[in-house]
Amino acid sequence: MRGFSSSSSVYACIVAQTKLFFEGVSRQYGTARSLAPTMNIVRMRGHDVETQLHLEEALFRTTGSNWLVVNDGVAVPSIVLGISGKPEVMAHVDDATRMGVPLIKRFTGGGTVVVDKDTVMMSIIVHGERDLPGVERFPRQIMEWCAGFLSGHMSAYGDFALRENDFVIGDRKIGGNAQAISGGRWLHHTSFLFDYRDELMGLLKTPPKAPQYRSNRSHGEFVTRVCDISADREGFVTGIIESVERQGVFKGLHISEEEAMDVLEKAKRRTGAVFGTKRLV
Amino acid sequence: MALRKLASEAATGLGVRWAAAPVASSSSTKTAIASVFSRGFATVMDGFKYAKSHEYVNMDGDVATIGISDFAQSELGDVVYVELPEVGSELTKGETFGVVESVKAASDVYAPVSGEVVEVNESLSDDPSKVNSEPFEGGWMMKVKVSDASDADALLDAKAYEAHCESGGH
Repeated sequence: MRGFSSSSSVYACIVAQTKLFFEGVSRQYGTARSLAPTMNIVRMRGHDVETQLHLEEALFRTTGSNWLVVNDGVAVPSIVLGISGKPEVMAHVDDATRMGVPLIKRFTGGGTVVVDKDTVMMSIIVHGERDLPGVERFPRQIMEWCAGFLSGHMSAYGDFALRENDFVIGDRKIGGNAQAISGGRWLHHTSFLFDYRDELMGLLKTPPKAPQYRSNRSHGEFVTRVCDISADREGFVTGIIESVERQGVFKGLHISEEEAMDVLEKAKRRTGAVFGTKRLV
Repeated sequence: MALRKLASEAATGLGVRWAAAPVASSSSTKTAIASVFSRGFATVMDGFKYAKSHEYVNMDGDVATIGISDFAQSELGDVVYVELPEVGSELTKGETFGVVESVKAASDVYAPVSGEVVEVNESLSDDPSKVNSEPFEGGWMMKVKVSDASDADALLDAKAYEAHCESGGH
């Protein structure tokens, strides 16, 4: 019929229109991503936990930025207590001293943990008021958001969930949580037990208040080692970092350890700088 | 907490808001009316003033009794430790005066008014749970002799605070 395009012209027209459509989508997506708030990502390995916690405190209190800090194992096995933890209540202090295990009080809440070269620590610092206003700045809501972005990665290890205040696989604890909330900003950290030594865990006393789901189980029956599920430590650590990058709110920016430690050095030089993290013994 | 949440959702669905029986404030002869708002099934005290960061102020002359609201304590969870300033400290409105620890979180608390700390609630060191069970009575944190009376005027009244909590504006 006269005025009707040949099939090849119609095809070319469809291709052209489709290309324009996807270019538009890509431009819009690219624009949205470029407007996303930045999450600075720092991967550390083998620092002592006191230095790590001082760094986190400096990033939390002296910058207005968002940060993910992953410390893949600490150099010196240490017992770390929450802000109000009493050493004599939470740990066998004499045994720890004899074994050369220091006791550190951190600036966040939560319970007492043992950390060593096989503990993977994740800390996430967010300017919630500015960059994540939909997540209320209270403990439960923060933990639920963190569980949400971790679930894609962690579900590869089993039935991952937030249970009471712990991250679990099934009914066994895989990560202990703690937080600090200050005005519009919050910090959440989790210590994951990639592996642990029984003789170090034995330095901790049973806490006066245990979660209900522990159900009077021994420590060994209550917690689980990640390595018992998968020996791929690099995959576990990388997956945590990729989870944050994938969660869709923040744009990840990898920062070197040196740049991050520079923030700590500047914070220490401030007049009157006081850190809540302290070595007790 | 689960029952509280269920009640909150039911109240919201029914559009219910009611006033409890009058409750005498701990520091004056005036009667403060306690009312409950649907968000989180929390209580506000009419006659008190509130900061957006959830500290309350109960004025008695030029002395402010300060603590955290019922809404805040319910969102934080079981309080296990409270760190308070020294008597005699000078506070500046908007700056942190202490820390409340609740199970997993250490949360800074902020001075809603400027002035000198004249008394702190020592009983909270033995029984921090009072912040949960009676935030407006036995769970008060400190008393401050206010240096500028207009500080309290600038805070939210009960109705405005209630709206602030219900809108999620925090």
